Amino acid sequence: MFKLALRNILRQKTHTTMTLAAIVCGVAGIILAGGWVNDIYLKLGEALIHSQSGHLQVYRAGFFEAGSRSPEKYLVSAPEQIKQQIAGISSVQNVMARLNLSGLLNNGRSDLPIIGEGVEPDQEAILGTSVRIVAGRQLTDRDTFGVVVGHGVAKALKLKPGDQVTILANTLEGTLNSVDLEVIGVFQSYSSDYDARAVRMPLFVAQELIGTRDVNALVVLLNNTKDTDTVMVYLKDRLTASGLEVKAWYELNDFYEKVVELYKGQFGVLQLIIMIMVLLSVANSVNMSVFERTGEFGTMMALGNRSSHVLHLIVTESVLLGLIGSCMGVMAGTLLAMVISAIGISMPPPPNADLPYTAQIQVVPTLLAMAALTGFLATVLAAILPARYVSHKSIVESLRQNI
Amino acid sequence: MRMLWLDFHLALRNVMRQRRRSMIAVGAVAFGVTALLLASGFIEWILMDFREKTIRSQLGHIQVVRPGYHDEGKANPYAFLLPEKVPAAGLEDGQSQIEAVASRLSFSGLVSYGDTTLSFIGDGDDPEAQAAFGNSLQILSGRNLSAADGLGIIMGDGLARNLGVQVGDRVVLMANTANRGVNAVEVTVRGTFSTVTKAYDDTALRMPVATARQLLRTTGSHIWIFLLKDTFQTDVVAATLQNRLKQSEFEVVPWYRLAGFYNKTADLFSKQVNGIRLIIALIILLSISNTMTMTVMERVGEIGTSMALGVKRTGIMRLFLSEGIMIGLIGSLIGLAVGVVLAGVISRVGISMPPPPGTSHGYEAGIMVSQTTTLGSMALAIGATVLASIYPAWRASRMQIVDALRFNR
Repeated sequence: MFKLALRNILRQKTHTTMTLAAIVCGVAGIILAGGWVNDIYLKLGEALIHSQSGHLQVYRAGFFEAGSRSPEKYLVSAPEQIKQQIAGISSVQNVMARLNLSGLLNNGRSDLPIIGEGVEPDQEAILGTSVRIVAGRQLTDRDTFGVVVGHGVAKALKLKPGDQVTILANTLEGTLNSVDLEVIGVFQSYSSDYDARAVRMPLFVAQELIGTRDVNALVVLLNNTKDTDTVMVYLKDRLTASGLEVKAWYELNDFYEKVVELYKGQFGVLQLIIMIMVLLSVANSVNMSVFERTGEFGTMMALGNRSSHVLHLIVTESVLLGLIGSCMGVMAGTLLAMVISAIGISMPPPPNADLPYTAQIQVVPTLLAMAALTGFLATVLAAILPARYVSHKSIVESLRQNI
Repeated sequence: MRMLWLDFHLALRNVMRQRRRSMIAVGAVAFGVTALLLASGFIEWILMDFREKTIRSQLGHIQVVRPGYHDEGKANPYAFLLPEKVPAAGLEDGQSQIEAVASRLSFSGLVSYGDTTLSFIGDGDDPEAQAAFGNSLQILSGRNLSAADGLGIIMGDGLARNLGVQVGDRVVLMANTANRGVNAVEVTVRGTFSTVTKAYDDTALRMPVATARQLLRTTGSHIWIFLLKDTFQTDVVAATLQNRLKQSEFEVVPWYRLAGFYNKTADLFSKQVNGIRLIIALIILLSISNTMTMTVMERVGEIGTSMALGVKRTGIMRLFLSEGIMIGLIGSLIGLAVGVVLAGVISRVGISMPPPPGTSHGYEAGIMVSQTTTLGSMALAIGATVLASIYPAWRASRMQIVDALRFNR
């Protein structure tokens, strides 16, 4: 039976090619669409990590919840020591410190209340940035007394790169301190409320300004996003005792999970449409090739083959076709995915990042299995109905198709 | 012309004769059109819904401000105050298009609770007009602003936590007034809200505009927000408004110039779904061409007979092309009908979606059938059908008559 089915498949070249083409296209289509959607989730996460939050952040307990407005109450002391401890973990690529402060920015004529952030410029550049520089340039380690200001701040105080400004802030002891800085650049983020208040300066300037050696946050960048949870558990074990808390990037960007959830709903509908399309197109092909052979099956039955035998033969043929087609489809899909990934498709930056990214197509094992199964089942199921019809047709009528 | 008519007549008879093959081919085309229509309609609906939500929840269709307010107003709010009422001249002809007008007063100040004092950025909103905006602000606890409770405010979740206040607590707001004095007002926290931006939630609060005016000792506002009945009228109404209002005193800003987040998201999302749409289109293209090739290949014997009877190669070619066009037309019309009906049914039932970021409620998505998607899907299907019949028709017409006849056995 198996041999007969195989010989039939090889004999009917046109039918076989067409049906196989339908299955291969369908299976490859499912793989590509699924891989594309998966890549979107993955890249969205990466974009968030690399534009601002890093993989993990270490704070004094309570800072993330309630401390953002009074950062001086939530300082991490002896940051260098903790930094070295974290940097010692093998999967950690980089650790950088940030210090937040609030104060007044003065351009010589008027004041503006601002929220400032002290950063380690060169390390931040490795992480990536969520802000776009609209004038001047980004801060670097060599700008010892430089500052970049938000677009709104620059507008309000009529600042341009090269201007001198003074930042006035309360030190931890409660006295006033000031520092003179040069405007290096002007940045714009997606939130104009933030731009109207924010400035960034080198970490040590900020530390000097409020009179401390401590920091508010340690941002950890890992080599591989997959290690996030492992490292987080490890750090939590070590650091919780000293009153610190560790937040992973998906907790810092709490809307990420909601976006993914929403996308799953939206893309799910489209994937369902693709699935139905594949089912119909395969069924169509199988249907046609069975019906075109009505005369042949009539001849078989006229020669004494039972209708159950014919039915069996047709189903066996489609099982074979389904298997071959799905395998070829999986191969074609994977190959295409790899080729497309190698080329890459450039995409605009996600809404709260400023890095455009390159989309690829992920090859996901479960997806491959699902696509192959869909192709196979569609072929076999699609054959059953026409096979029943053809094998139960009266012999004379079937034979008439031969003429 | 007559030749063309004859071609189509013959093609139609052929299509009718080969009932099963035609049905399958028409089926493939119809499925394709339906699928493409549903997919594109769904994508379009999502983009439309996102646009309307952005407009209705925060931006409004048109904002009228003092020139330069959006650039410099945050730092020097009192230099950009609008008069109390919208000039009647501005409203005259646009009237029929305008659904609601709200005023907003933005300022910053200090908020105190117990020993803690923090700075805030505040918005004074019209609670009644805001209700017309559908108010999709996500309230985490307590209730939204109401006109009845003039001294009730809502604050960002992060600000409330930084201050340590609960719903029902009384806080004191302090701000510089328009004439450089300082004023304070005691208010009750009615609720807390959250948006997509944590930094904003950490500093923002909102109150009824009347309270804000009282606090700032002013009667003006910073922004007049116009909500229109139809988003597509935005540019028309904006142009009329700008004509009516003096250019040196008022700046009319349409929503899309303010919607940075929307523009970026919509841009990214449409690129992402276009990837999927491309895949759907490809599958349809292949499935149609597959079926068409098959229908021609099955009829090689017939082609041989026709050529043996003296039909020219071009004649065969023309016949098959006309059949392709015929099948494409019939199939896409059927697909269109099925697609429109299905879209209607699905939209009525609704596809339930999880809540988008910054809101707490999920929503029911629908399918929007627009002219462009309809025409696009039909063009793709007919194009695919015709293209797919060219190659096999060409091959069929190149065959040796004897070889072709052999298929008849």
